[in-house]
Amino acid sequence: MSESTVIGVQVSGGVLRRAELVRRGERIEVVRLEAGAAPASTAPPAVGRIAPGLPTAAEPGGTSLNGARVAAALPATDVMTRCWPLPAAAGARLRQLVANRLEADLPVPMETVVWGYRQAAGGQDRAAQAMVLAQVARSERVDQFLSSLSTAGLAVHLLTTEAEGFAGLCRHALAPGFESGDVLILAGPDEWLVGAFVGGLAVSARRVRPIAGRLESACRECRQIIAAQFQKDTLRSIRWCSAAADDPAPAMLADVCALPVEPLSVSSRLTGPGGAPLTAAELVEFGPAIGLALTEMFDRDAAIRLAGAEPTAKTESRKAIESVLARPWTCATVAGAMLLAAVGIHLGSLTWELARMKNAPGSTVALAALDQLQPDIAAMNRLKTYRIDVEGICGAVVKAVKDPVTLTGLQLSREHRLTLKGKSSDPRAVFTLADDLRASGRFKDVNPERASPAQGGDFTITAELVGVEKFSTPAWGGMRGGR
Amino acid sequence: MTLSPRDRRALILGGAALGLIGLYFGVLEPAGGWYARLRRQHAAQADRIREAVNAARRLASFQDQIQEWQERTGPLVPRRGYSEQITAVGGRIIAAAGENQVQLQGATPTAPTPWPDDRRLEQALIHVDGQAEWENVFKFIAALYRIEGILSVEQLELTGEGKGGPIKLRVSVSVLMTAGQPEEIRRS
Repeated sequence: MSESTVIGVQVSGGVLRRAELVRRGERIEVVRLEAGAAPASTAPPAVGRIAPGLPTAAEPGGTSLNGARVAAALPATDVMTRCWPLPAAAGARLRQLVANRLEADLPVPMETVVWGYRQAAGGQDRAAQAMVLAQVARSERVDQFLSSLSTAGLAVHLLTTEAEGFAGLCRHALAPGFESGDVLILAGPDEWLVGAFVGGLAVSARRVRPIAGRLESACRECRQIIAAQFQKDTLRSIRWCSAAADDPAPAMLADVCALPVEPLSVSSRLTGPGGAPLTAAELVEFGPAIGLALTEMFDRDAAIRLAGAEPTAKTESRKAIESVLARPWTCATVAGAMLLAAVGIHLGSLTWELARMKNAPGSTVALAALDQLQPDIAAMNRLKTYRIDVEGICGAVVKAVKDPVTLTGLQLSREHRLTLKGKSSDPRAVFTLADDLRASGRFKDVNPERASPAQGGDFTITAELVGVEKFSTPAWGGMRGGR
Repeated sequence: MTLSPRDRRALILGGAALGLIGLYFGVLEPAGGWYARLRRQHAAQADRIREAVNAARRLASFQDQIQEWQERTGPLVPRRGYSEQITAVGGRIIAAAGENQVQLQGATPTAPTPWPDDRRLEQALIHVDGQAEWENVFKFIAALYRIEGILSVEQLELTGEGKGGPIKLRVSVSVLMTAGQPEEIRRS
């Protein structure tokens, strides 16, 4: 089970209803719906029927959560709801405004309750007031509820209210057309769940118990609930979902309330197990549990949170990636369009470059100019190759000669052989001079010879020039006379 | 006429296969061939442009180098024959000796010999004898290298007493000239 698997848990009338949803791209599949007896302390006092036992993770054969996130709702009887128009604000300032207002309204100390709030859409507009829905529950009751769910093997990540589950169902599971100002009724055989929506907020989730043969009484109760939440002429329509095919209640309700009652349709993105459509009976029975799972799946950060593990903060980049991955067909279309664009750009650039290159001058002009330049190039290369750097050679020799050496002759032959003649009173100086000549890098095969050591220290050093091309000059031609 | 599901499936598969074959031969294969031709033409033109750019760069580089050498030595390619070149170079050597206080004692040219790498050229040597102070010798050699037609110093002999006096100088320089001189000059 991946992180996209969410379980919604709703306890009502001593029955625990559980809906397991898996998100697959844009599609949401309800993979399991179960109902069973609620653990003892989850049910509020004076509950009604007890359904057959629901297997838990603690029991043999119980369902393992395997990392699925769990969203549960505190029973409506344990929650106090307030809805006020408050000055437009956001963040910590809005929270402080709500806290002040609650402190004034509540008959118990704030320390003994937990609370949360939700602002109507557009409430951050500074120019106007915004409706804020605040819901409060006793801390003690919340702890009891959580611990009883925990004994049933359900570790709750989000504990919210039934109204939030109802709102989640309307926001994410119903077909477009359901808007603010509507009333939604999920009509089961024993209980009608009536939800009222004002300014995008589920301000009321009330239960009506119809009595067989006296449906008009239940319809009047519905009218009272509606009248308590909506001012005259602000209600637009009543949406009705019933498990029974030939239910006379919608027509009766339309008569009593003098409003159109329209059937409810489920969004195509929400399906039952295996992709089959959800039945009306399933929606009526498990609608709030499904809505809770949808709230955890899509509205985790904005939901009224009475308890549960804090949501892990997602980075903006992760949110962006998830929002992209939620639309695989859009991604595939964009990728295909980008591929086509890339191919088009590639072919276009190849064609354009080819046309430009065909019009560009070739190497003919430059090669012709190079041909004309060939004699000069050959002459230059000749100079580079054969010209002896006499100044450099003599400079290297002079640099190497140190006292007490005195040069008396320097001979540079056409075979590029250097012969130095000189005198030195110190025999070692000749070898030092030879070493220095070798170290200069201009000479090789440096060969010091002491010609006449007994006659004033005459010496001769021979060496070969390095890096000069030897040119096989012909034998000296005949002299043509002097100048 | 009604078709059985099996026949319908066979027709669909056959049609799909024909469609794929048509798609390949009608669209993919011609498109692939067109693309391959386009790439070949592009590569050929790119090679042509690369060659042109390289040639232009080589030309610019050689022009710079040649201009630099010509500023140092004058025109690089010999334009004169043996007699003219020897006369001109000899005159320039005498002038250079005078400018650098070299006491010139002789300048003797040799007969021309063919330049081995280029039969349109010939080479001759001029032996120069003289006497000068140490520093003037090198000024004189530097001046020799600025004379048009002189290729290199082939032989150099400096002899002195080592006491700071004038030294005897014997230098042989190679001179290039255009070939095609009368045979008698070569023999002489």
